[in-house]
Amino acid sequence: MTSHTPSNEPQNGKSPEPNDPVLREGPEPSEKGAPVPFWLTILASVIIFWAGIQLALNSGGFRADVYNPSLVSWSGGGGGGPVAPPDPKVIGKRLYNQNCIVCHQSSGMGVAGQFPPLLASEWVVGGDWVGDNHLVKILLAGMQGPVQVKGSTYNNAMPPWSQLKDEQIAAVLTYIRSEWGNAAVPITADYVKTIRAANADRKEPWSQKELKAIPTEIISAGAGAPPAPPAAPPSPASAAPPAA
Amino acid sequence: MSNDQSSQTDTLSSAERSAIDSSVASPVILFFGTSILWLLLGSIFELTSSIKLVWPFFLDGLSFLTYGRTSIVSVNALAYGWATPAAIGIGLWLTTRLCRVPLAHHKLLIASGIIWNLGVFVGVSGLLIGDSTSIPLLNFPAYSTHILLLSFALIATWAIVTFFQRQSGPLFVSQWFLVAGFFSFPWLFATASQLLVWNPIQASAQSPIAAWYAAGFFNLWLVPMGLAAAFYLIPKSIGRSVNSHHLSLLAFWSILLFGAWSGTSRLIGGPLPAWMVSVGAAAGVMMIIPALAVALNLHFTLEGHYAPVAWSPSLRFIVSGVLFLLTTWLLSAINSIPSVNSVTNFSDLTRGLNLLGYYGFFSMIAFGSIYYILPRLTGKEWPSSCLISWHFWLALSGILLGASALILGGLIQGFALQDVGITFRSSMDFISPFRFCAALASILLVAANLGFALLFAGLLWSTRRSGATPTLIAVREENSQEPVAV
Repeated sequence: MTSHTPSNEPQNGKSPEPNDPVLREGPEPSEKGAPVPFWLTILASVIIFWAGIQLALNSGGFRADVYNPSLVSWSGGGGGGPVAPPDPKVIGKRLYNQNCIVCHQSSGMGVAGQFPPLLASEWVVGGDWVGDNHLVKILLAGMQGPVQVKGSTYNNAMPPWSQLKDEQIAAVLTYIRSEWGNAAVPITADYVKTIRAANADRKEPWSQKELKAIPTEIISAGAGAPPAPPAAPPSPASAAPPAA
Repeated sequence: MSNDQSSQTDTLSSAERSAIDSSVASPVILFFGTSILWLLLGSIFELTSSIKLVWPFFLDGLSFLTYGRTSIVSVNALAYGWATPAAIGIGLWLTTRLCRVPLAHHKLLIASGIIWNLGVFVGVSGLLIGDSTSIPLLNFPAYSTHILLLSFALIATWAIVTFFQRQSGPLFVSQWFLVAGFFSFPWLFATASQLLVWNPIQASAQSPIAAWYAAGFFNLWLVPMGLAAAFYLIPKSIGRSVNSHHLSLLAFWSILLFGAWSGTSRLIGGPLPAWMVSVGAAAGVMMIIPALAVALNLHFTLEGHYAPVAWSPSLRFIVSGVLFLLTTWLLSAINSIPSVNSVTNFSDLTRGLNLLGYYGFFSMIAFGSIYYILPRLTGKEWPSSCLISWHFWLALSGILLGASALILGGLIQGFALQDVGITFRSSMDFISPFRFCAALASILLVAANLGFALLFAGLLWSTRRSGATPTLIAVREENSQEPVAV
């Protein structure tokens, strides 16, 4: 090897003698243009087709909220459809267990002489002069002082629950009005919202005397309906137990 | 990329090759040398963790040698200490050879090689003192990943700059793989580090990113570098052309398209939208296409010329590596089918597939490439053909024993975990004989790596100049028509 000057100038002026391993090397490799084997083309197409079908069938329409593709159709709709709104009674039960159960008990019976019952209580399902508006007001602002429930007098304090959202108050009231044999109509979040707005500046707890001064409202019968439960024909189910 | 590759002629003279080799010699030898040290260290930690799985009381008094630390030290030291620098060394040599330009400013690469190893050292020390993150393959604490990324940015920039200064004609298949690898790794590493380590995003999105990174690290970094070496060294050694440009194209693009997506298939049953797992499964199955394309292309290239595989160390290691890649991708494709994956997901089968991919494919290709490259850089021949033979057979038996034990044991473990009638404790009892075999395989691999390290040291320190016969690991037939191929 006489030339020490390759066409690309070597770095740092180095011009090494080629060593034996380099000298015995073959030419630089190149590529030939043989076609892709026909069977490989077919196989690749089959694999891509199969994988594509599996992908389409198991991806829940590529929706971000589908974790189990078998619950919706392959396009992501149909089968599951829009998610059903949660049952207010289930939410209400959870809220009741978290907040109310200490005093009113899981049976809804309260504690004799201390905490009034909710089961068949005229304060819950409606009574002579007690309406749905009173119930919501008590929950929002609390209640204290002597109170007559099912013929017994209780003198204790119930804290306000205005920190709960409208839907949560509606849920827990709906729960206590439908559990333990109670069967009054559900309280809606909209109704809670109306009452909350109307009593926005009420901070101190209600007393029975104050509440009695407020005219009765029944959510199912509308504002002008007669207050007496037996005379509430639009919703016979709600009227039955308290009338008994 | 034109189809007219066959007209490319060999314009590189021996003197030019020599000049190119001497320009990359020092950084490449630095990368190879340090990577072999980490290979030894990582495989010793791997052996320690394998023994702990069989016999939990082994070294149980030392907090920095608990299983949780030794297992991630072994994985990270092998990934960032051994595999990545070895891939960089091979990639630098291939880039300059294929682009037909000597490397400019090689001292910059020496510096970045030192910085890289400093980063790995800081990271491994951080793991040992308990600073690891919880993300697989990104366990290094944040203070070391900055160092690694800085160093790799320098290396990749330099490789790409060299690529743009190329004097070669039409691009050869290895060059596509090299550019893809040198672009992918910093992209994957920076993205995953930013989203998972430096500035973690919300927890539910972390696992798919970690899975994407783990798949990308193998399929978009180690596979392109390993295949670049295979597509250059196999035809070069046997003096033939790569069979099909079209098969190369098919393999290249299918790897790039499906490679990183295939990772999310293992998140089956996880808290992720269904499509993420399904995309992973589809991509994993589609990896059959590049597996067949690569294997067929190299087989057609070698067809009728397999004889040198017997005596050439580099060819023997590289051909085994390609076969292990085919095996890895085919088994991973089966494993990514959801009904299979839901059984094997949390079993040792995953460890077996990792052993096949990282050691069976990448390390074997890296060994073969180093056997080819180093005599050219140093001008010396390998000191002992016997030791090379031992290295090959120890490595091969270690991989086969370890992978088959972990895959079969993993299947049994997976079915046991699925069965409500079998307690977790019993599933551990079922797997323990297989883990014992895996620990034996780890001993074989440590011995193989030790043999390779001895060969490397012997080559560097020997004074035996080449000029003697090349080191062959089997007798080359008299009057063979095949080239020497080493």
